[in-house]
Amino acid sequence: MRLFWFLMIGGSLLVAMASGLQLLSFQSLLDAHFKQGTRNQGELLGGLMADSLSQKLLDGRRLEIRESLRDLVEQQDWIAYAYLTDFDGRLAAHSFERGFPKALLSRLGADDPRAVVAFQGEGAVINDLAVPLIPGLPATLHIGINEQPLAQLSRELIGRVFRLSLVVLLISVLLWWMMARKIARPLQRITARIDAYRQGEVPQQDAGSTPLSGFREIDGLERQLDQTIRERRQLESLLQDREAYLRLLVEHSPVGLALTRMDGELVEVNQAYADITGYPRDELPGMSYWQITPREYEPQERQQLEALESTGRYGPYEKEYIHRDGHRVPVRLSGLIIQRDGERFIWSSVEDVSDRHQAERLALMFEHLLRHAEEEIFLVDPTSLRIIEASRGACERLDYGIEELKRLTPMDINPDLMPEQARRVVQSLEQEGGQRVMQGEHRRRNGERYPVEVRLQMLGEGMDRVIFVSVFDLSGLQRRAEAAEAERLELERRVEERTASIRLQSRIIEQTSDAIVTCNLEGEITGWYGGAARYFGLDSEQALGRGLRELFPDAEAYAFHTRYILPVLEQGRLELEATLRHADGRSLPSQLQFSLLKDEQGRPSGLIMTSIDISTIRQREQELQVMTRRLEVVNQELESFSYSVSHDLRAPLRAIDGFSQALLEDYGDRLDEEGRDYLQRVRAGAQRMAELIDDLLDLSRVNRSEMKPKWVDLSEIAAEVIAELRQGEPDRSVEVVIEPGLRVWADARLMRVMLHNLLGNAWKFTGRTEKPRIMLRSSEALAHSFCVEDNGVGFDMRHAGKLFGAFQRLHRVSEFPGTGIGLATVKRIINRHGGEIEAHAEPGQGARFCFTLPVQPPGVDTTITEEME
Amino acid sequence: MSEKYILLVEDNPDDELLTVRALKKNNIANRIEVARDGQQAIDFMFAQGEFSSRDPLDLPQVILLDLKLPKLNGLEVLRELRANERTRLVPVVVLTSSNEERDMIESYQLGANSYVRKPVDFDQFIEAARQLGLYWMLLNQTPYE
Repeated sequence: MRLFWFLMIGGSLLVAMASGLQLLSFQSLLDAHFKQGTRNQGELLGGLMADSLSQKLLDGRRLEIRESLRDLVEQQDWIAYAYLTDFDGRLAAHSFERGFPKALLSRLGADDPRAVVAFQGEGAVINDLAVPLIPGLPATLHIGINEQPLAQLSRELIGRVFRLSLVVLLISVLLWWMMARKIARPLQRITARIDAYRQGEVPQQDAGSTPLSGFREIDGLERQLDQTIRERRQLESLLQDREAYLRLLVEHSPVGLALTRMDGELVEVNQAYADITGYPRDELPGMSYWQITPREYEPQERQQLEALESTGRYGPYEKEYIHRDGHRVPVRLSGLIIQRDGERFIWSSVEDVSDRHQAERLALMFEHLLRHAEEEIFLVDPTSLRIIEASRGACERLDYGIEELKRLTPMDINPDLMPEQARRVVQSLEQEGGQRVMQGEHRRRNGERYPVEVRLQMLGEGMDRVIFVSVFDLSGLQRRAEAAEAERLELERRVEERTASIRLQSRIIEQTSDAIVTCNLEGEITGWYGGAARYFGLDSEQALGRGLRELFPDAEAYAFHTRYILPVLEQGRLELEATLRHADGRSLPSQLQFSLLKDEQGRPSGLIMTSIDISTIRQREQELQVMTRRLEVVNQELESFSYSVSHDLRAPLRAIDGFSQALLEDYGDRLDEEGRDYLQRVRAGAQRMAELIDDLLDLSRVNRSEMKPKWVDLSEIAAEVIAELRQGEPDRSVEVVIEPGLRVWADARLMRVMLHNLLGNAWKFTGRTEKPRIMLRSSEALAHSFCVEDNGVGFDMRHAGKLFGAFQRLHRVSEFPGTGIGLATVKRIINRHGGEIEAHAEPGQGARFCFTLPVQPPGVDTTITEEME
Repeated sequence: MSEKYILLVEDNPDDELLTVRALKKNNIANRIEVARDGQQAIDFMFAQGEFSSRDPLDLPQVILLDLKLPKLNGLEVLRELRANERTRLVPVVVLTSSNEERDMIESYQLGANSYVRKPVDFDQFIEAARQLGLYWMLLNQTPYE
């Protein structure tokens, strides 16, 4: 079929091409024919005009000749020009308006006046045709034939033929398209559908979406096919519906249905059966019902199978299945034998009867419940108003036996209840349902009454209706209500207390000048408490949600996280000083304390930052630094002053003493006793002044020298000092007792100066004592305390206040020498070590100086020191 | 080698007189040259300035050096003497009013051979001078002798 159409199209195309070629050759033929025709016509025209032109030439009417030539050119569009040569062969007249063209001059004396010569002119091909006026004479009419109009004419002709053949081709293609679409395609489709139908395919829809062919026979064929298919489809869907319906019945049957082989193998089951046994539905086929039948039911099962064999039916009977999870399911079974494909099967229906069993057990339990319930419960018949059942609690509380109660009505135990009233309540319960609550009094057998609240409810329907009555003894309840009220009041009181404490706390937080800020783990501010608003110059609305970092001008995002958030997460808290920023750009030197904020589950949820303004402390620190620097300067000045004093003040003294001595030596014989005495006094004065200067320098050195504390053995130094003193006065015999191992944490040089003074004093003031004794020991009364004692002259305690001042003396120099600076120096040394000194004395009873000194380096715990020792 | 002599560096004329007297009292008859400030002491030792005619190899047996001196102080003089190869080993006794521990330590650090404090009591002074003279002029052998 398709081949045919190909051939047809191919043929048409070939024909069209052949005719095209034919047309081309036809055109050249036509061209030649036209050329010949015009030449003949030209010659004819020349012949027609020859006579009149010859006459006019002979008469010399050249103007007229020119007019007739121009007429010729105007009348015939294929004539481009015309000119005439006279009998001598010269140009007689022409149709050119602007002079004779040079190109034609060569033609004037041509040998063969009849020859046709073509030349180019004005973009067109023009043939020059020469027609002799009189044969044999040179007088010739030349006509320029323009070929252009002729060629155009021939092309028009050819074009018409070509268009005609195109139309023919188009029509044949249209014809082919119609044939293919309207006849061949529908036929193909019908054939395909019939093939499919034969193979059993029944399409679910008609093929009507494609347009019919329009040919009656073909359309009829297709309609018949549609009809046949539709009928079959209806039949099939009917069958499917019926099958689905039957399957639905089986599937959704609340009764378990199972098809089993005679040996017990399950072939097919429905969902209810699967639900009863607890197995997934696809696991059951292939299993045997013997697997889910408890062993004790086997004999009974065999009996039923025998009945099945003899009667074709079994059951109904009850047994149990073993549920997949192990528990027993009570079931009721019945069934029959059915034949299928020549094999016998058992069709069984299985009903789960556990609900019924449950109901029976419930009834039993309910009876137990009533028999044992402590509560007062009744069931009352709504028609007779008799008590049907009563709980143990009811019997005990009312003091009746159960059988006695069953003969009574509610009116008997509630004497205030009128029968009409009871009827009304029952009526309203029947009509409206729900629960009624009544209050009243119940009466015991002995007439005693107690307050009750009675709740009534209608249970069951129709004949089974019963009024459920539960009674609450209000006498107990009243007591409990009172207790509950007391408890509630106590609770309220505690809540109030707690609230007050919380209010106080929040007031404290509000009024504190420190800023308390919380943030989440991303560093966003979540809380703005205490003086935060004043502190940072931001109210809480401006602050909340901002990054905490913005308060820290010096911390970049990353640094902030590592410097503040991470350490708090790791260590739980962080204390440091930092400079924060006020909203107005001011710096806020702050002491910061971070701690971890935890949520109710104890997980870290953020940070709490407490910020304390330390700008005043900073300012004080700076002031202190300035003061310290000034003091240092003063100290330096003092030092250079002391230095000068020690040098320059002594030099003149040396001169006074030296030259006094020189005077005594060299000129002593010229002075009397008195003069020599005076000179001795000058010397003594100078020497005493030198001593004063030395002692004063010692005192000032105590203050300005740098302290280098270390472990110092006081006992050892004391022994050395005593040895020096003994060396100075080897004749004296003094008893010295030094407690060994007195260790202090102090500057060794100052300790030596201190002991030198104290022991030196003791040595000096025992000078007149009969049995002098000096002691150094630790104090018994006071820790870290040491005493230097002597049995010397002592002093009056009234003057003790002056004792430690510089230049203060309690004895005359003549009695005991000394400058009065020693004890001042001692006091300075003790004070510099952070200790105190006290003096105790009585005249003639000796003196005791007790002082405290550090016995351990600062910041060291005593226990540790002991361990180190 | 010429006779042994002492160079006393002392700006205070009283002290100069007393020192000379104390030495004489102890029968120390050696010549005593006196320089009255630190610069003069240096010029003397290195035979320069006003002492350019001196034989620079004629060094004193001992130098008694006060610390508090005009121009160059005693410690500076000491430092210069100890820095020079020729004068490095000349015995120097620091003789001063000061009993500042600092001065004493610094003197010894710079290579002083002895440190004596001038006592106000002239008797003590004579005693000190006696010991000095005895030791340095009679017993001690100078290394360049």
